[in-house]
Amino acid sequence: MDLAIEVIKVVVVLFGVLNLAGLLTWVERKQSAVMQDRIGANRASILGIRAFGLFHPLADAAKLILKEDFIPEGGNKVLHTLAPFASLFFALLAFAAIPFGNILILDGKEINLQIANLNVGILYIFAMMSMGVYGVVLAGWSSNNKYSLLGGLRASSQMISYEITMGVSIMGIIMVYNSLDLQEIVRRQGELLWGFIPKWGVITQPLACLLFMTAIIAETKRIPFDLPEGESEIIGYFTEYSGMKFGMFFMTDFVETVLAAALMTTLFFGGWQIPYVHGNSLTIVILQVLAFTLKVIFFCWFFMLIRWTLPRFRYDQLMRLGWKMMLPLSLANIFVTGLVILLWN
Amino acid sequence: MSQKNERILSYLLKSIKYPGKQQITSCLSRRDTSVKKYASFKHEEKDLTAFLIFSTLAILGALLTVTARNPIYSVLFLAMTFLQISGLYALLQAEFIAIVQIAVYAGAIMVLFLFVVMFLDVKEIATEKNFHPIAPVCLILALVLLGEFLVFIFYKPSREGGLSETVTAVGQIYGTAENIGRTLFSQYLLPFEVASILLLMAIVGAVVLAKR
Repeated sequence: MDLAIEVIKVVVVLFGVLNLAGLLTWVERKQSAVMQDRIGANRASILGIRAFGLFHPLADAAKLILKEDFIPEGGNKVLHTLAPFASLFFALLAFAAIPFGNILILDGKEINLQIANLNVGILYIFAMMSMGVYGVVLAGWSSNNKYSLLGGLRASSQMISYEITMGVSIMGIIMVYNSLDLQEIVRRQGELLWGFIPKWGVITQPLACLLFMTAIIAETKRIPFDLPEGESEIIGYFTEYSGMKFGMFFMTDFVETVLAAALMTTLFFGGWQIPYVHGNSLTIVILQVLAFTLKVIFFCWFFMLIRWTLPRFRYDQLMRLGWKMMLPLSLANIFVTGLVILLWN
Repeated sequence: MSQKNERILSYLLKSIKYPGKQQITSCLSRRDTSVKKYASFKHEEKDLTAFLIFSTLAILGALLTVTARNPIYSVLFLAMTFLQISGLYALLQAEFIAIVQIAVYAGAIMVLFLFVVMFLDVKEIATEKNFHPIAPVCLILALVLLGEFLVFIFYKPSREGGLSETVTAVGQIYGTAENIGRTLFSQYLLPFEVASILLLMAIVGAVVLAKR
């Protein structure tokens, strides 16, 4: 019975994440179309039904699977194949620690709506994200292409640089909610500040929220930080990939976007909390899971909005922003948070 | 086998297996949420299987690290070894150390290694069977190290306050981030600060070298 519950949780999370990631390819196209006053993807049809172009993700998948899988001459076959798998694997693994609902009490049985309840959950997610660098580095190296190698280097140094800011910026959150356990952090965000304001991360740590969001967009390598990929202009680390292996890198991007949205929700926007609503009954928990999903979808959409709004940074600007502005600001944030907590008590 | 040795061994075994029910319940009263899951997860056979899988893969990874011809594979196998060791830490309920092991060693240091190996453009080492002249020295050093480990495990302390006092089974919540933080900032504050100053010096040194 316990095992069945665990399996159901894993299946639900994977199903949700992968489908949302697939759907995001469509959202991205439609969002750009809306912002640029175009119609956008609407050609793919099944039996004449177009459904606003919703079949495009399916058509993309079919195309990618049927394409030739090409490994460049002189490239390392094993690592060339391993790289996309490593990328996607660690991105998906990170979802294990994200709480998507309160502890559900069903017939006196406690079901924690989180796959793995780690007391160092947040560190676990960062560890998994730092493992994601392997895919990028290996893809660049195993392609036997100097441009790909440089692309991999660019990507990994960007990821490592912004990982630091990302880690430092959430220290404030850990200090305020006094836990590394994500479920606990979300639970504490259900408390009220001065009796009427929900104690969400964005209210207690507004600067950290901004810094974290910037860092995580850089971490997912999206515009305005998309130098590692630079879809058409700059040669990136997956230039030598085709077919479904390219598709897997593409997938990783969207899975990471969902992860970024889920982390924003969990750390700064109350996770599954609905303000002023508390409880463990089935109805309330279902509503909370829905609230969590809605918040995640909102942030996915918000990242798309940013993508089609801002121009791309230059590489030196990117590094200057990361090391000379965001890192000192996040360090200052820790200091101020510590001071306030000390004076408050 | 002497009584002291048996005591040491039982301590070591205790630290591998989970402590008894009494300890779990005492932990439950101190810190409820994170420890509760262990109560339902204390099947020792399951732990033993996991321990065997992790340790076998760790040893395999370590062997492949030194035998692989391609240095990139060596780095990757070393990363694999670190991941398995992290699994062993997790079995010992040192969750914080387990995660730090992944984030620092596998996620950061090994990536740096990978960079260096990639840029040195090292080709696969040609098949050669003859040993390096330094090999006998390495063998002696390895044997000395092995001997030290054996002494550490089987040494019989003659007086009180010897080895048997230092090897004690720590509590279940010892490896949590809270406890490590508390120990680090109270008992080991000076070494911790010294280490951080050392790291700061290394960073400044790197910047100075890069500016040259």
